[in-house]
Order: sequence, then C-alpha cells, then structure tokens
Amino acid sequence: MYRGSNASERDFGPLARLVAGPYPTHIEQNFLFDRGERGRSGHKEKVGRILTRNPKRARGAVTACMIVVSLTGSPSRAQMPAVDHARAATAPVTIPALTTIELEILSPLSSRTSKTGQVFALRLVQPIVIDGKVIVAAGTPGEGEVLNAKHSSFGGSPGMLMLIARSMTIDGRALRLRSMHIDQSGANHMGAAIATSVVVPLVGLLVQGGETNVAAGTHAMARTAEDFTIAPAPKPDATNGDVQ
Amino acid sequence: MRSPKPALFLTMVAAGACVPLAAKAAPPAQIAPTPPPGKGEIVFFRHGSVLDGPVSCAVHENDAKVSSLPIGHYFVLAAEPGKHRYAVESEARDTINLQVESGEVQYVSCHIKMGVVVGRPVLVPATEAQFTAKKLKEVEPAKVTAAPAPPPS
Repeated sequence: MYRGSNASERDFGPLARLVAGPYPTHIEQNFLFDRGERGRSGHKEKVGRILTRNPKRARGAVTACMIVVSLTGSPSRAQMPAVDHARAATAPVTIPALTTIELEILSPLSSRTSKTGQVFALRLVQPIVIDGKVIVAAGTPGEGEVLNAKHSSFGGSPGMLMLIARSMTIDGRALRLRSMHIDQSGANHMGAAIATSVVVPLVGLLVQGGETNVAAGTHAMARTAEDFTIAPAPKPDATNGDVQ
Repeated sequence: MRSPKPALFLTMVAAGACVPLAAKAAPPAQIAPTPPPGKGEIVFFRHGSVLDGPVSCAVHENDAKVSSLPIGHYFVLAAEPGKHRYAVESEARDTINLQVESGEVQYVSCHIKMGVVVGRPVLVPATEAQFTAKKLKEVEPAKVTAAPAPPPS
C-alpha cells in the first residue's frame, strides 16, 4: 500500500496520468521509488537508477503498467462502495428493521462510578450500506443507556454494568436501536465470603467483590429496532443559482 | 471352522470404548423454548449450593410475585418488549433492570450472598452457557405468573 497524506491521489494516479498525457520524470521517479519502498533500500536505489539512465524505456514501462491497471480496474476502487449519501439519492431509502450495525462506546464506564439510567455516547463504526450506497456514514452519533450499575459491595458481591444502545441520530431524527447487550460483572467472591464466615464467623462480610469496567473504544453489535426511511433532500433550485 | 468369538469380543470392546466419546457430545442439560411471537423471554435460574442454606429466591415484578426459585431450579417467563424491573428480597432488596426485545431470550441467575443475619439473594445477568452448564429442574409453569402491567405514571 502507498503511504502518506496523498495516498488516495496515488491510488488513482496511474489512470489520471494516462489521461493527462506526458509524465514529468520526477513523477515517474516517485512512482517507482514508492514501489521500491516495499523492498530493501538497495532495491529502491536500483530502481531509481534504471529510471534515470533510461528515461524513455522507463516511461514506456510505466505507460504499459498504467494501461493494464486502467483496463483491469484498480482493486481498491472496485471494492469500494460508492459513497453516496441519501441526500444525493433521488428516491427515499429505507433501512429495514433488524439491520445489524456495529457501534463504538466513546467514554469509559465503570461499575464504581456509573449510575443506572446514565446516558453515554456511541458512534457508528461501519457505514450502513444499502444497494452499494452508503446510506448512513460511519461516525454517526448515537446514545446508549446504563441499564444497571451496581458497585461491588461487602459479602463478595461483584460490581455490575449492563449497557444497551438506545438510538442513533440520522438527519435530526432518532433511529431506535435494540439488541446491544453488554453485561459485565466483576470478580464474584460471594462463595469465598460465605466459606470464610464458616471458618471465622462474620469475617466473610469484609470480603469485597471486584469492579468491572468498559473501556472507551469498546465495540458491540446492535440492530435497528424499526424500519427507518430517509427521504431524499430537496433538489437545489436551478433558477436561483444554488447549484455549484 | 474358526470360532467367531474373538472377533465378537473385539467388536464389543471397541463399542464400549466409544461410549464415553458419545457421552461427551451430549446435548445441553436444558434448553429455553423459543419466545412466543412478539414477546421476549427471560430465564431465571439458580444453581446454588449447600452454603446457600434455606434462603429463598422469590422473584417479583411490580411488587407481585412471579415465582420462586429453589436451589437447582429454573423458570421461563415470557414478557412484553420494553423495560422490566425484577426484584428479590430478604433482609435487603436487590433489583435488576432488563430491556426485553421481541424474539430474544435473556438469562438471569440468582445467587445468595452473605448477609448480617441471613443470606441475601441477588440477581445477576447470565449467559446461555451458564444456564446449560448444570442440570436444573423446571419450576412448574403453573407456578409462574406474569406480573400485572405497571400502573400508568
């Protein structure tokens, strides 16, 4: 893979350069140097030297590669779904109920500090794609709820956290979510507490259970709870010159 | 003519050796039934041990008793989708909130933790694997009553 901030430009570079016509020598050098980076540094230098010594030959080779790539299609481009938000769609799109989605919890939660009913932030990890089009982009915000939060207590009782996903906000409306169940308990020492008290009465009361934590960045699967139709955005009026 | 006894003996030994392998692939001890259409299901179970003593684990919803869980028993409760709050009580009260979804089964285990005077039952979320880990008896379905709907707030 190419690296660097202009990676996307380089992905489509061969085709673009083919259309553009003559190629400056430094672009060819960069192209081959970048390919050479995957090998050892010696190989990289060798490729560069060949190009400098035989610019015509190298140009021909590069052109041949570009033609092959343009005919077969760039793999990264072919596999990439068309990024076409519903705003650009011409017809309403419905996200069916029970569509599986992946969510990420954005803030750390702990059975020690969280409260039952507390709301926490979520975001969509993978975009929702229907018919090859991205309908809801990755990163769309949502919210979850702490269904149960209990801190650990005496007698070896563990801390507990139960989290659910509530909704995701799309175009200002809430899409209800379901089926995300993160149920975590800390270390359960209730048996140890009772056993201790059998030996030394009431000492088991001092045994504390373990707390549990859900780290920020934790991923979980959820489902949409209802059909959700996204209406197309109104077409810009061509007469008022809004179209750019 | 050669006697078939040795071959028969070897066959029987081989069959005997296969028995433990077959026993390992035994089905789970109990399986929760599929929820009725449009409803979810909650399986309450209690493995328990001798240390639990005679402490009862009676599950309540909206102050109405749903059922009791003796040691080594379970019961299945069909519930409407939405939030439900279940409680168990002895010298202290413990509650658990559940978000019931249609078509889904959730598992809740009852444990007894140590109390000052008597043990205290607590409700803990559990998994299907924990439910099927030990053989349990089902509480008679007639003794399981769905709680009345909560009063409108």
